Amino acid sequence: MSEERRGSERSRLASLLYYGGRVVRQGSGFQIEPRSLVYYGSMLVLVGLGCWLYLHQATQASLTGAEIVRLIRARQRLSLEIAELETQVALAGGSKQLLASVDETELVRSWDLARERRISYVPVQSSVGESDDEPVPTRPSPGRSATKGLVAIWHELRWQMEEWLGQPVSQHGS
Amino acid sequence: MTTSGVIDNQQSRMRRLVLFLAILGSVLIVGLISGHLVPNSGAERAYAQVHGRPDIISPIRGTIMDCHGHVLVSSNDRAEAHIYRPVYQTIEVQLVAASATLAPILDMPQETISRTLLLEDSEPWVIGKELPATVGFDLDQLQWGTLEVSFRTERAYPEGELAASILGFVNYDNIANVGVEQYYDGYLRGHSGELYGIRGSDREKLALTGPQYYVPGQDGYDLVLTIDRNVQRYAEALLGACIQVDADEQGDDDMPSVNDEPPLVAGNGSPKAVSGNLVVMEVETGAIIAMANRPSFDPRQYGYVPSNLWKNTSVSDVYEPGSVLKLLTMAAALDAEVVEPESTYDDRGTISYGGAAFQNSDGIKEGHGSTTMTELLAFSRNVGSVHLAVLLGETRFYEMFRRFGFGEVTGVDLAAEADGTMHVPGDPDWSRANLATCSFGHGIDVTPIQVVAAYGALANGGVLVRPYVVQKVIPPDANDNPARVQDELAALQLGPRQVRQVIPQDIALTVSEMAADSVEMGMQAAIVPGYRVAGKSGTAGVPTEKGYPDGDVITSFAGYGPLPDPQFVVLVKLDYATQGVWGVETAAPVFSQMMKFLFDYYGVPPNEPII
Repeated sequence: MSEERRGSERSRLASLLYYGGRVVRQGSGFQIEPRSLVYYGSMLVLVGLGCWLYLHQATQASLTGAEIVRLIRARQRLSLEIAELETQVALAGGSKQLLASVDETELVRSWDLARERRISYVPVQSSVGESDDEPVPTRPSPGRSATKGLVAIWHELRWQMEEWLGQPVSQHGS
Repeated sequence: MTTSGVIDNQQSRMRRLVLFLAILGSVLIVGLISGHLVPNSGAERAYAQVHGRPDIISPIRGTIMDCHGHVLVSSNDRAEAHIYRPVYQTIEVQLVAASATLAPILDMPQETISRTLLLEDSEPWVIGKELPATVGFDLDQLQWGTLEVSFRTERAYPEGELAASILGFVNYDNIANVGVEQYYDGYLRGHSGELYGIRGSDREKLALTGPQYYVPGQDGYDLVLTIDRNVQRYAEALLGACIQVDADEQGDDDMPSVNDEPPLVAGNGSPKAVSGNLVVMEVETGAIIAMANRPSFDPRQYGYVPSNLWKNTSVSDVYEPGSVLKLLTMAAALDAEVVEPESTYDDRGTISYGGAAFQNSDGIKEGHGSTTMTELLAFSRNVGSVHLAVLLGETRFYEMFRRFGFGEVTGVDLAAEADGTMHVPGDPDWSRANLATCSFGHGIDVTPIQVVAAYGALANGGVLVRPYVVQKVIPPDANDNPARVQDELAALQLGPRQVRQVIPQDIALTVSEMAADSVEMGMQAAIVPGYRVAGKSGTAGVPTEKGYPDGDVITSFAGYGPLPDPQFVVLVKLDYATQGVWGVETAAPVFSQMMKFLFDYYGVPPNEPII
């Protein structure tokens, strides 16, 4: 007997699984089987989850889009502000302003400078300890030095020493 | 119906319901996936463009700087804002909110704004016509229906009128005119960005689901010129001192002056010309260091002067240069070996060619007898130059002048350059006498920049270089396509560019030495103490239909130095000078002063003892 009941229950279960949940009329009302409830309920939950995910994605996209627009606007404003500041700096650094500040600080404009140039320099001979009869020591000419060899080099070295010391090292002989 | 039949019907309905839910679920899943993984398609972009109203993101126009990075022109965009008042009169809450919102933006007390908004006036309240662009931007972002904001491009000029005809300007319609602004407008302008989206009924941009499309803009490129603002300022002051100021025009306060006086013009004082040009070019590279034109204009007030003052006469206006071309005639003759530097010719005071007679400008009918080539240059003998041209012949003469760049544009990167006019054999306006007149700079129309370039060739070992004003183009920091930017910059071909070898180097050196000797011999006003400079003066009558009326002359001096390694070419051109009629009197002293300034400014050491 129990085997028959189990068998009928298995067949009912099989039929349930195969045919899904079902609503059966029993007497004057309808009875919804629990398994049907679980089945359709889970379907509803899944669909609801999908809808929620869709709305969530749309919301995130909108929020991100709004943030992007805000950043674009902020960048645009910063660019304008940077351009304004650069212009202010440029206006403050113009020649006219600089020349006005030169006048205020009583500096001299570069155009007003009188540049001194000293091109040909001849060393001034010291007259202390020398007679007028003595020849003025002169730098040996390159042509003459070349022909004298070691003598010319010696003269050159002595001349340079005299310049450094500011006085004759020895009598200069021709 | 049997119980099994009922069950079967219900099961089929269930299956259909399950199928429907499965399809719905699939649609949702596909939508989720496509929203995350599939990129924005062209269809969405088109939808946004049709259904959205784009916000234009205006680019910032590029800055123009001199060779040292000092700003000459920068962006100074302005905004104009109006607000219509009556709507706020009756709604106090809105009035308070509006005032509170506007106060920090306009930097005005809230009470002042409230009082202004309360005024019964059908006319809109003009918040401002010269508002900074940032204030305009903040106002525009409020998106109030009663608030109107408009923007316009404006430029700031920290150096005032300096180099106005080189820089140019941008008018109220954002159209560039003249000079570098016009020539490089495509790079300075940048391009706008666009932001498409869906707006709500209250004009608020709603960042909801739906296609949004953003096209990033790009600000304009910055330009670095070859102009040195200090040299430019000095050149303009020096040229201004040579110009007769009209009684109705006051001196420009922006122009600095030495010790509050105009720079002294040596020689006979100010020539008091009507107009003029002064151009300084670097010999080796062709970089234009200064280009002064008088009269000029204030680019901030371009609308208040006649439009003919806008143009850069150094590149746009032509004139007959006169005797400055004799140096080029000499170069052509030496190159063709029809004469040598030591050659002489018999100057008899007049010479006939092509059915016309030509005489020297000194009017001495007896002539000067045996004359050397250097004397020809020093004393500007027309007879001698015609003699050289006849020896050259038409073909070699015009070919050489063409190689020096006459009759064609130099290629300088400034708008509206003229190519001048040089009639050659075969032209209907040419005659044999034209060969003679061209040899001393008449019957040929040239621009000042062409003369500068030709003299630059003499100074540069015979190599003609292209003059240029822009040495560098700097892209904005943020750009969406670096590769495209690099391609655009490469296409510009900025910087020095050699055009051709006009004459051999040894000929150029010989001509330079002869020109320097001629300066010392006959044009002492152009001498710069301590330096050896080469050059030639010019005095040209202004042609009319009836010939050359007395008194109307264009005087000039073109030269370069210091020899033997010239650094700069300078051209001084004065139109209708009233004090002095010869180039050697009027323009040569100005040339000397300009050269002296250049040598001092750039620290060029002298090559001769300064006495």
